[in-house]
Amino acid sequence: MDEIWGLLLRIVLFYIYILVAIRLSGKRSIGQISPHDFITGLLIGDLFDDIFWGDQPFASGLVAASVLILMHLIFALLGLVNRRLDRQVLGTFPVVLIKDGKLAWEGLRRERTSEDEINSQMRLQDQEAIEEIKQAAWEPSGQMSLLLKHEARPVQKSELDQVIKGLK
Amino acid sequence: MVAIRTVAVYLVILAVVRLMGKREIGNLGAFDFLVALMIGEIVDEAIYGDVSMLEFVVVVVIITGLELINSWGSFRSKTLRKILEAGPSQIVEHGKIKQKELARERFSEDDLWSQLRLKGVDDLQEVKEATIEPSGSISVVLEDWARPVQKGDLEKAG
Repeated sequence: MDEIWGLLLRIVLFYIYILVAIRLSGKRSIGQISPHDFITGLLIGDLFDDIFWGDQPFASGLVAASVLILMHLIFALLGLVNRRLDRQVLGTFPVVLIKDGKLAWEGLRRERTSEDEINSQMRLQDQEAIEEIKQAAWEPSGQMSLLLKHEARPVQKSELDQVIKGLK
Repeated sequence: MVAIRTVAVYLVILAVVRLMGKREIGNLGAFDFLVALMIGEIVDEAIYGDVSMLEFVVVVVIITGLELINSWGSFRSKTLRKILEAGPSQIVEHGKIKQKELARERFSEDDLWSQLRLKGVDDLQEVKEATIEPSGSISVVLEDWARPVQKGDLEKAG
């Protein structure tokens, strides 16, 4: 029975610790995830089980989680201070995959992205004609951004108003 | 010691994620997701010192290497791509549901309608093609007459 109480206590304590630590580190959601957010999440997630099962002393878990969050903060701060470090080390730059309606092979090779994958991503964003794309890029968050050429963009209300005015 | 090992593990994994490329972060396919889990699952032993740093690095290098070979292979060869990842499968063509494809993907008509509604579509006639993409999401491309008006259309008319 004591074991179960110990397990319960460890889970609750560690849970609260991580909750507080993440809140303090200023991360609001995982929606805007960058490479080093991803790593920190992945690594912290893996620390829990040994602490829960009591395979490792509670203190080790606290130290490891604290160091991870600290590293995360340090890299985030360095990134803010130094643009180049941010781009080169953390990889927070976009890679262009389509330029002016044509595949940009350098970017495709670099990210090992096949034409099939581009087509799939385009369909998911309601596009099918590569000629209509001004620029497509892998963003640092791992999402693909699509910018349409002028003529392929949706008509805005003001433009329609203009035409209607012309008709009158 | 735990602190030092944690710093080392963090740096190793940072290098791995940078090597693997952007898609591995936000756009995981089913298998990429497993690889990420796999890597996530081996770090705790390294941090707590249950295995040596050398062993950790060896395992990480091997997994990363395999993943890189895999993604290079599928980038280079269409055949390999077909074998390694499920390709897209089209379930609606010009307003008609392809029952055979639907059955193969174990996708019910209700599932399809649910996905169409999420895209704001309730008339199948408007759908030129609906596809189950390799990532597992459904894409919907509308018929030419049903797609929103583009600036180009208006300029041609004007």
